[in-house]
Amino acid sequence: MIKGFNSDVFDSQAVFRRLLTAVACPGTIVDIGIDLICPEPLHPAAGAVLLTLLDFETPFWSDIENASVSLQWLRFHTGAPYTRLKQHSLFALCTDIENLGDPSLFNPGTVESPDISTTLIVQTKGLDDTGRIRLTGPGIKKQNFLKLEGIDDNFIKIRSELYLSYPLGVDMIFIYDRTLVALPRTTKAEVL
Amino acid sequence: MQMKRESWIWLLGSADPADLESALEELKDHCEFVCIVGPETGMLMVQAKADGSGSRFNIGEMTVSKCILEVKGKYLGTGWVMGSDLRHAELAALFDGLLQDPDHHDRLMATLIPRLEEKQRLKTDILLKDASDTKVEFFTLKRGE
Amino acid sequence: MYVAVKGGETAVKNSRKLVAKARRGPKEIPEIRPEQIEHQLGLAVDRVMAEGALYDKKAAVKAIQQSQGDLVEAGFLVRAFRTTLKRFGNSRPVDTEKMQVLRRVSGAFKDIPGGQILGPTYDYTHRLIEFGDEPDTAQQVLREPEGSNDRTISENRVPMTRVVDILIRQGVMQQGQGELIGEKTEDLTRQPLKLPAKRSIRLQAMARGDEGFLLGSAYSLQRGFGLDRHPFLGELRVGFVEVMVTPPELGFEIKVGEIKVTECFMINRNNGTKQDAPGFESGYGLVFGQNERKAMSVSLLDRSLQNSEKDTDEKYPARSQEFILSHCDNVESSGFVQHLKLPHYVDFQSELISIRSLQKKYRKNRKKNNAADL
Repeated sequence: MIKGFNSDVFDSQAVFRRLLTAVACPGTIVDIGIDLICPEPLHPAAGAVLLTLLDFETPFWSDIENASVSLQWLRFHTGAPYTRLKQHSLFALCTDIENLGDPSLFNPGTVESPDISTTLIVQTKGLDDTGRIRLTGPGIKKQNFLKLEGIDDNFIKIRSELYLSYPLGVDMIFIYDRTLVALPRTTKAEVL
Repeated sequence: MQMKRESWIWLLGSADPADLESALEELKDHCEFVCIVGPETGMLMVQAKADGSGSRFNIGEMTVSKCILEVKGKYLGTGWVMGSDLRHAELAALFDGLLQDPDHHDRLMATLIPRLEEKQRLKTDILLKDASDTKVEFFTLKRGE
Repeated sequence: MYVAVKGGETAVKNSRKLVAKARRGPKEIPEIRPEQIEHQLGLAVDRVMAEGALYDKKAAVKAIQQSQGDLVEAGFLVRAFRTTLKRFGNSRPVDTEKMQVLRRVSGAFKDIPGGQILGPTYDYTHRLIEFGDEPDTAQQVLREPEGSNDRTISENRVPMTRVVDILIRQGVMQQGQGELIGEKTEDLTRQPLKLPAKRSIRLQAMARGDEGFLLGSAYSLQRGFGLDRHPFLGELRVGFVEVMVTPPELGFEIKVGEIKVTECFMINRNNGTKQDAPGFESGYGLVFGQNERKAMSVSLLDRSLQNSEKDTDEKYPARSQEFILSHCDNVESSGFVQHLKLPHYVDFQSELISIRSLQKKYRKNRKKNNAADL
């Protein structure tokens, strides 16, 4: 079994701090700030974010097989229950970006508790803050630009429909290697 | 008789840590192990059932410490103890790992485990004896026929 | 005019030093040791664990020492401590039928299977303070197990049937509703209290609630404020229950500990209606540690709050969910009452101005009225 964080407390705090920055400033590419070895096909940033956020009370969905080494590793260290239903998940990890599917199939929360919703984590082939996706909204001074390598424009378009159902919605974190960028539900994303 | 792993995990977790320390000294040989999780202190939510048999509810939490370590790169040992004694959790995990190792299993089953079982039984016996001493014997006066 | 108040830093620092000094007492007296608190003030430790909602003797003991024996303050310290710990999981529901019983009495039946076991209780003490210097009388009965005769005791353990199950079998009490499949257990520590609350939330709130408040509320029921019949103690048990958990890394169930709890079933009579058959109804209470007063109070209130689901009779406080559940937590209540010690200088200034202007108006009106009378 591969070890998780070197220090549960300090590493998860460090990653959480970086994650806060990323969510507070959508479109800002953030390094996870710690070294982590995690099993294939997980990127270190995906592993770090999931080890930080998951626990036994957060149902977790993924397009990776439950029996795979990487998911067993995640479940071993976090105790998170695996769910086959996107609608039931509080966290979800997508690695097969050719088949991302419809983000509205995840749980958008309810008007009474919009916080009880899925946070979607997507592994990409690269992140760049100079792309054709224009981001506006809270936490962004004027506008930010983003390139998510391997993510189909159509996915961003479906997401912009989801954006209209605020305060419901799915928060997204895009990952590449050690870095991540967040698109919370409050951020408007348009493909130029 | 074959002992189940869950039985020795409990014996190790409820043991006096001093007994585990001295058993470790007795082992003499160098045990190689790597900590995979912890030792860390956290909580378990203790649940019960309404009316003893109905819907579940939470009474409150209890402090527990746990540790998972890998002995000789092969055996995953788990230790769960009540309270916040991290060293105890670590020792419990280590012995759980060693008990899975055929090189150690038989000897520990013959030395450490019976010692812990005996202590456990003594503890229970005192409680039960004390309680049964306070059992009420009613005397009823017979009236009429 | 608004005046920001600063200062008092040195006074605060010195006050902390002074409380430490008061807590320690004269240097000539040896400092109390944690083991002494754990073993010689065990019921205080139990209360702090129950109200602190954390079964952790070491933490409760430290909290009692640090709060100079103020048990409400100690419970607060334990609550604060528990927020720093990560939760590993939920236990399997504890099986109180398999409890290793230290004490078990029934006020309803004399002969109950397993017998009446008095255990350690103050119920039969004389309540006379023993002022002498003699060692505790308990010392005389301390004894080591006597060997072979006692050896079989633990093997002869039998589960004790519950008294309410006897009533159910006799057809005078309804079998309670079992757990529904997929029913989610709500947790008061994760979601704020919503009214009306499910029974699971009520039992959790009362298990961690203030002993004094629950006792007083239960007493009000008995005195006629919401209960018109004499309740009976079906059964009261104190003992150890096993805490079982299935760690995800193992995939099978292990035992992690044995905890002391008090369980109470209270029986109430129900004369029935056209729809409901007459019979007995029970109220349930389960709390950490040995705390009979509290477990009994909880079981009385549980019954009354179950009744309030059917017919809200909120003119009695102990029949109102909101009254009981919103006020039973002593971290909340003590915080809100005691926050009045904090500076309210500005608030009060505005009250003062308002009162002065009202007085002025009052005097003016009176003068006018007096003049008119003349």
